[in-house]
Amino acid sequence: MSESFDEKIRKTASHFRPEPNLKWSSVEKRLEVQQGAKKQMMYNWIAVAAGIALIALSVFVFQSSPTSGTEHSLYVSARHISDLSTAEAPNHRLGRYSVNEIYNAYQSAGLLPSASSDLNGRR
Amino acid sequence: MLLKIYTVDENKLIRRCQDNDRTAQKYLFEKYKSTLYGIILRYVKNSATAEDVLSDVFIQIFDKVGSYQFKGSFEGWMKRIAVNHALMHLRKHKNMTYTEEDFILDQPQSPEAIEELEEQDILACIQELPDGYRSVFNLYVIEGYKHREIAEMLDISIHTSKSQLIMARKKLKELLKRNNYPGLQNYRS
Repeated sequence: MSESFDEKIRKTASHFRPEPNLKWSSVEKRLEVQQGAKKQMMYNWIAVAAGIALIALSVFVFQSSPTSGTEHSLYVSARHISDLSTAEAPNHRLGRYSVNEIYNAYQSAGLLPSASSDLNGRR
Repeated sequence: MLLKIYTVDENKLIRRCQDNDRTAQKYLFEKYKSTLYGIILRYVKNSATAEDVLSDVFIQIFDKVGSYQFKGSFEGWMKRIAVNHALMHLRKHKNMTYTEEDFILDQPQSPEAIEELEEQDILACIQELPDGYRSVFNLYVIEGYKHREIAEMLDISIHTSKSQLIMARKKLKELLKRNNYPGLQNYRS
């Protein structure tokens, strides 16, 4: 008996097509906002990915560069010394130490190939 | 011209919606808004809330239409989205409570009792049912889901689904009688 009750209800309810007040314009507006937000999110992800890639590239370049760490200091010092005239080079001071002192310190630490005993001889 | 194509071939309409064509989306909205609104209104009592849910449903339809595989009815696919959204709304607002009651033998019902009922009368009575009864009743009687499926959808036991349905039927008959809708003079419980 309840089958027929169900069928009646189903049949009647399935014909029910009320007209909502909802307008297409409001749905369209929401779609625009949603799609704008999606694009923005995509751009954000691209920016983040590009940032990470840039950092990774910088680290890689820095690591593989011959001018890293102690080597970098030596490179800068050497460049600086090479710009000076022969006469003033040995006594030129880089901070607390003279170029000659720095050279000797590098050499005794085994960071430079052995050459003459001091900078004057090297030059 | 565009509208004529759509009336002939719904697959074209769907494909255009998948391509994010606004004209096609608008046409789809106009074509199905009443059907989907009718479904949502059976679950959500308030018409303003039902319209909010309807708006969410269309947003999801346009968002997910790209994943529609042209298998089975497209209208059925949209109806499932509408039902799921309506249930989600009820769950989110914690409106669904299931009172476990013992099975009560279904009262015999004369078919004539609801012979002349209008759709509006039916909806009004369904909307008066408690949320738990209403959801199970709608899903089983109108949407045609099985108790096993309803139990999964609502995260309840099959026993609860069955008992809710019996209670819903009983309550609905009471409401129809109490409201003295047309045709109910023949009602004998």
